[in-house]
Amino acid sequence: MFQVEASYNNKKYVLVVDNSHIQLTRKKLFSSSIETLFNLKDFAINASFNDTDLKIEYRGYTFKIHDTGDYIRLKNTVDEILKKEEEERKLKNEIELLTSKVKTLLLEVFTSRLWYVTYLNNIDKSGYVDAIYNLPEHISQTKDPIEAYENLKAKLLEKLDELSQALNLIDPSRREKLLHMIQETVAKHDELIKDGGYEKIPEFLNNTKPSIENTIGELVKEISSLIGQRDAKQ
Amino acid sequence: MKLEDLINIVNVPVKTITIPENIGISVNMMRRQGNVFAALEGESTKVENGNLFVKMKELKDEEIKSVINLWFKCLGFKHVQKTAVCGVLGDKLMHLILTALSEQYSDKPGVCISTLPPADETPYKTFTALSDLFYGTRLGVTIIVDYDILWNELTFIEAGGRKTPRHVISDLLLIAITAFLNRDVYRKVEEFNRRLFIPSIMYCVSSNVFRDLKGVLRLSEYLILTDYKKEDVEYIILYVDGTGFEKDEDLLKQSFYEWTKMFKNLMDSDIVYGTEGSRRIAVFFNVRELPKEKYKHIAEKCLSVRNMIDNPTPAIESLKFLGLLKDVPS
Repeated sequence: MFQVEASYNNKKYVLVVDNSHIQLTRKKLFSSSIETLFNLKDFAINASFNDTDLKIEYRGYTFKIHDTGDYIRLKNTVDEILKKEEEERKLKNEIELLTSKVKTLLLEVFTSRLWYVTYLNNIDKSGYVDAIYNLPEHISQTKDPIEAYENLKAKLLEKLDELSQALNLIDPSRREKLLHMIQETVAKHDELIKDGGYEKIPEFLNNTKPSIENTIGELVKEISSLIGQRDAKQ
Repeated sequence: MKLEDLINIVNVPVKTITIPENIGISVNMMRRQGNVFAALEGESTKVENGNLFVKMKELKDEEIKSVINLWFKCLGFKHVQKTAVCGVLGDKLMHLILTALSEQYSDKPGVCISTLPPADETPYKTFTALSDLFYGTRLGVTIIVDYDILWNELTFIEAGGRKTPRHVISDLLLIAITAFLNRDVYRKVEEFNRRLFIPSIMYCVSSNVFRDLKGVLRLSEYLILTDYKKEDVEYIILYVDGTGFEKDEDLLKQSFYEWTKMFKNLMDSDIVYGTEGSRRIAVFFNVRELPKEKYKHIAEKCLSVRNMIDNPTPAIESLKFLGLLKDVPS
């Protein structure tokens, strides 16, 4: 808790700053009275600081701070709150990103990759004619063996591009955990594909969903606990 | 994180899918051999090892055709330059394949190999076979095998085993893929008004057995050309594979060109070398028309049923193509 002396409309005020509020006290000659109570977070978000003349505008008030040290202290407090807010917003965004976009994209990447790799695997096993004949047309969009290859590859790369953009918005340590899960899943799929045809793909994907859910769930838990820790500190 | 890094982690393999430049299709004859794929009547409709199996009884003609067209797409026909088809004319699957090819891929020149209807065939079957031949001729080159010649034992023995007529026709297809679908050969063939060839195929030909190539060629000529006019031959292709004669290429060429001198109206000739070392020789004679006396029965049978058929035009056109329509009583 600290106090800052200020003036507004030629009247003297004291801003008493604690962890959550600013108490505005009017200072008279022989007494003082509490005029209002500002929410500190709201103040941090909406107050505008003018470093040249040490003035702060907030909700119709224009406070002039007399002491430079007090002005800087108040400004630092506000900056700190804004920084924490920003970090919390980022964490919440990350949860949103993980639970909606990344989760969906991971499944799409695994789906596209399974079809693509199984197609190539079937070409090696039984030749390109059987491989394309048995591949469902809604997956390849064509029955031409080369066009099917290009379509499946383009779809996988498109999904990987979207996923890489989404991963860039995730904290590096959590991204690493996701990449590790991707690597493990891909290796597992490659092993399964060796003995399976297209008809096995839905089963492989169903078995993959829990590991996506678990990894995302753990990361969300981690982020939630970080947010909880911050709230507790505040 | 860069896309390339994620691609490395996810492991996106790359592959080059090689579709043959020339594809052969054998209808109800043999299973796949290299670039020659098979279409066969089967217990169920499926594709296995590139071969198409069709349960004919279960499907209507249009449904079979759509299965065939799907198979063509899967074969990568879009990227194929030329095609060769062999089968028995009048066979339903052969008919549907020929019509599907001429409807969907008329821009891709090709070869149709088949036997002429045998002399004891019924008029209706002869008519049907000639109707199918019409679609075959639209592919480009037509290789016609005299059914009687297929029963000639001299052409039949390979490694001590008898070849069935079906095998001989299939072997001709394999040879045609190399010989006729060769770019230079096809370019020459395109210049003929009537791209009609009759073949002679001989197995187990070896320089150890025959004293010289001329002996082989004379035998081939004897087997095939007894009924044909030598002056009708405009172009000859000699296909030679693994016989030992290839070792002395100059002598081979000299013997071949020496022999071709007997064809007074010959415009050109070519030697095409096989790559499988199969000890066989095939000689393809381009003829203007079939000898009318020998094949008079085909024209007569065909014309005898024309008034009972909705659309006799394809069969009539085939008779014209074979040179059998003139001088035949209508």
